[in-house]
Amino acid sequence: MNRFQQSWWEQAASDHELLNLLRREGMGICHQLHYLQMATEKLSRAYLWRNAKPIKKSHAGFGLFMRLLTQVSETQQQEKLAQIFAFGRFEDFQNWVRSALPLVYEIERLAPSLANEGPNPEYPWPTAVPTVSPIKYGFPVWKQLTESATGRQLMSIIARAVHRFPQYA
Amino acid sequence: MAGESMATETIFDRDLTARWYAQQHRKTDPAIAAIYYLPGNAPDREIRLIEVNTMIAELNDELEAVDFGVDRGTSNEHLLCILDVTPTQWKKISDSKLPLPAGWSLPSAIPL
Repeated sequence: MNRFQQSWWEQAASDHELLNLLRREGMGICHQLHYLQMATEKLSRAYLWRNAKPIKKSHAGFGLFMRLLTQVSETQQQEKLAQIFAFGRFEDFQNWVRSALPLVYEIERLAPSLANEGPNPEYPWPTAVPTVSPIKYGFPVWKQLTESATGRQLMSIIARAVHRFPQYA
Repeated sequence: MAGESMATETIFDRDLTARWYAQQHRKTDPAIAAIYYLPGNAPDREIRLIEVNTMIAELNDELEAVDFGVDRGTSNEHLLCILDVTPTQWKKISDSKLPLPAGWSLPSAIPL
């Protein structure tokens, strides 16, 4: 891990720690989603800094990060990734990521800049006539993340991705 | 679910709340094959559920429940802990070949 990755990873890990605190304390859904979105975005940036070159903001999404993890070509690296994420084979990990991608992109789209004047966990919307506040909104993605096993497993994989980042950075 | 209220100003009924969660989760996730409620050894305001799911990946790691704080600061305040397992893992748990998280007690399991 280079020093640029280290900086982004430290911030991602701190955001993720706060997410865990908010979850255990049962704080507002919007706040938990906000920290989830930020932690995953920063983790993605940490990974994309592996070439020690600046990355375009539009290229730093959580979806791209997850897809890149599944596109590793070297067998040894594949086995390592499968092991880090607790899958028996790399193919199992690839299949799992494929099935989780719709939810991954929903988390990515929570960022206000990608929310298209719609639901986001930070600011009331729509901008011109802000009538809905995030704290009062029931985010459908939250239901998927907490009431479905796939969603909870994604949360668990994100936790692994954060905690074990130095092993695969 | 976490962050949402089941009921605003009611006295907390753990068994009833566990059943409510089971219903909600079944509506959201059609891959749930079975749900077990484990009140044995659990603190009064902690709901422990094992959800057997046919669509999740089996991870090669020790079992770990996800915990959600719900309705903090209200009379309904509680902690919801969910352990997702595959049918194969559930079989191993039932055969005492796979340990549950520390403090969880299987003999008290109630199918919901």
